[in-house]
Amino acid sequence: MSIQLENVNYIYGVGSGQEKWALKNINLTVHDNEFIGIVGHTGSGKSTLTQLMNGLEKPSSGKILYNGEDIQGENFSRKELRQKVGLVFQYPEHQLFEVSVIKDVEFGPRNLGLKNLEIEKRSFDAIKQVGLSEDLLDVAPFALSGGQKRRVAIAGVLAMHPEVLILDEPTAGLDPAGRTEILELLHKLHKEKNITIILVSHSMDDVARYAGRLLVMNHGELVLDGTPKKVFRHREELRKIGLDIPQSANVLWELKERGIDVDTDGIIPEQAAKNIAEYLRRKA
Amino acid sequence: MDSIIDAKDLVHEYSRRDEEGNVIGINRALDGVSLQVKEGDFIAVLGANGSGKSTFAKHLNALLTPTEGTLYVGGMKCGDHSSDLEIRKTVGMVFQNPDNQIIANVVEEDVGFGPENIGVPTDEIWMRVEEALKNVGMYEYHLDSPNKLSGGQKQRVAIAGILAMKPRCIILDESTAMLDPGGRKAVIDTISRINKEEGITVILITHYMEEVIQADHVYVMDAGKVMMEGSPREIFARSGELEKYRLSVLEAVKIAMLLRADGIDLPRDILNEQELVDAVAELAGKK
Amino acid sequence: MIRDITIGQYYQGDSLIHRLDPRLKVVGVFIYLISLFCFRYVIGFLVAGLFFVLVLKLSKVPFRYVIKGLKPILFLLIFTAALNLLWTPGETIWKFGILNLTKEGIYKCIFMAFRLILLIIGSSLLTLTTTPNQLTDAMEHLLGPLKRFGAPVHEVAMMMSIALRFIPILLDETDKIMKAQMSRGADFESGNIMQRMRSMVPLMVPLFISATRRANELAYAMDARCYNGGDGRTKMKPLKYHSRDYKGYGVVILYLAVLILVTRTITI
Repeated sequence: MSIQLENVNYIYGVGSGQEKWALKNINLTVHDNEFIGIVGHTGSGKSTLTQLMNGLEKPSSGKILYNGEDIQGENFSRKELRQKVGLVFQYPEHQLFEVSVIKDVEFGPRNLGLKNLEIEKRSFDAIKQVGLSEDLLDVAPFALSGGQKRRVAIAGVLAMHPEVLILDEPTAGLDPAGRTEILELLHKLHKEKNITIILVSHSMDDVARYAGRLLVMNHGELVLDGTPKKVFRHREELRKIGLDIPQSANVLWELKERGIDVDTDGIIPEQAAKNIAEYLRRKA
Repeated sequence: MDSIIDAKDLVHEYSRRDEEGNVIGINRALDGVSLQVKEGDFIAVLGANGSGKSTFAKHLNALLTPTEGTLYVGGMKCGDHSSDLEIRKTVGMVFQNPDNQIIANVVEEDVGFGPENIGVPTDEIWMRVEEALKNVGMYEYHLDSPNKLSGGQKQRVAIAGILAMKPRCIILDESTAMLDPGGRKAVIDTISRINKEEGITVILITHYMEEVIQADHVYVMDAGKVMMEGSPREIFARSGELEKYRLSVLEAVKIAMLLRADGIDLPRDILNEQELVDAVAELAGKK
Repeated sequence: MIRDITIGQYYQGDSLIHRLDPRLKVVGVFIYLISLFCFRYVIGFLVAGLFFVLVLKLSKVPFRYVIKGLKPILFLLIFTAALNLLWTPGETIWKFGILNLTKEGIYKCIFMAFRLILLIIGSSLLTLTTTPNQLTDAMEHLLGPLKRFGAPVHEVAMMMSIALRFIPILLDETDKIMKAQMSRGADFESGNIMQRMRSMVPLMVPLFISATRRANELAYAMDARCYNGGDGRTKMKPLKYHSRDYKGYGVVILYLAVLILVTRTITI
């Protein structure tokens, strides 16, 4: 599995005299079993990028290849693509519409034209995967809490058995524990089911902890691409486009600026604490 | 006494109904909340989703009626609806979803909506609108459509709409929950400046820890009850309890905890990155 | 696609037309629309068209903006034109089965098309230069006398204004939910009419729930800002006629007089 973007541009409002470049010359390959974080401001092109990857939007120019095949090609089934590249929108609980949790989750697999038994099995498994109790199967989605609804919506996409799962700020509006639960769920899906995860996020702390690769978008351009540790070394560059680095990394850098010779290579609290402790012991 | 909010044993119950409308259960959203807010203070109410914090906020604005207990806002008793309008003039409220609280199609007209409702004369409305929009730094957008603004900008317009009614207290009912980090910071900076410069009481309802650092006093709610209260420093030092209530501490505080657990002698009440850096620098003799 | 609708959209500006009293604009457009049905000769279009161009120039709204408003009714336009063209009885030019092209038909077709176009672009000029709030204010004023008979004029005006504010928001939302369901394999484009109706359920249910939720929250927000109906309310922008508005009424009457005079004397 791979998604390749070659010189992809996306322009809004072509021909209206008010063209807006949402994406400029994007080149990027998503490999098998990666956990990618995408960060950038609101309006930096993150959402457009995700919608191009599963064929909901068409690039204005450039090519997108899925396993080497052009997804805009004549013989390419975009419906199949949407099954393989699952997309969970922001506030996905707003798309729930069925009378019960299980029926809502079944919507996706049913659209794939599977046999009833398979539909039921997949949906049941997906609900278990997202950590919802079996007691909730026949409950109306609207009677659930915000965090539960969001899991139902994620299960609805998981039940289609995607190879890639793209999530647009899946933790928006949730409380700290709810955020951790969703992120741990993604971590588990990535590790145990080998699903490629693409996580669009505003939280540097979150992507620092979970992502293996980080993409930074600014004004429609892909400005940085690398492991989180590498990307967050570009502290000044990120600051210039108004993005922070994780608090842990920031603490280490500030210490360094105070003339404290601590190892700045740490982006989560555990690493930062280790580096600071090492420094203090060395000193003592 | 000078408390603008005075709640005593406040209880609020929702009844759940089945499809035929029969009551099948009762939810206690608020379960004996007692607290006082001093005029001019910046108060934060922390709590996870479903902790009752938002239900509490809606009582302060007479949008919900207490089931039991008493609540005084600006000396007026809530519950009998006779002084609802006066209460709402005293306490303004900014809601969660920026789109669902802007009424007008032009920014300045929306800010004028509140003053129009309370019968402010035309000339004064214009003065108040200009002043309020300048106060939140949104005056340059006064002729724009709200649809063109970002979430954070819309929330600042909503704050201006409240300011133009000249309230004594502003409640932000999870008003930052749907914003990106930049928008959140702009809203919090705006509201804490208003608190300091104008002396308007602020009650901030949130689950983001970094937003409560500037508060004078923090309440933590869970299951409809006030579970913890104290200064941000006192609250942050009790991270174990916070996690029990589905909250967390800032990463800087986490680092300090990990270091302390590792036997390094750091103060217990580190509040933010700056204090952590200072404390480590002191240990390293680089103060 | 659904975002192309420009009817009810405001084009921000500070032209003379933008600054005119909305009551004048509503009355003016009303008279203009009626005037389009007051003549039977092509010369009338010249006068009506010239008047439109004059107002358009004064409003500084780009012409393509006005034209965009025609897009959604293009089908209706072609349909009525074709109907008139091929089914009007009269002097036959060309005949094929039930299709009957006549001289009168051509005449009527052009007439209808022009009339419809002027009708749409004329009224869209009103919404393009008047904020929805001004528009509802004007309606509230003009319909004011009905209050005496117990008509909820203020409430209706407020509802209209709020509806206008939420149209773009709900359109955006429709787009989002549609895409979300398409990601789950929903198909909104193929199938027969029954299948298509059924495929709308996953779109309409969330949309309906969302609209209800928004309405609920909006009601809270209005309550919190002391909204209490029209009584005791003051106005931030009370409607007040200026001298330019009286001149404006003069211009509208002048237009009507010229139109009648011209179409009565020149009969082409």
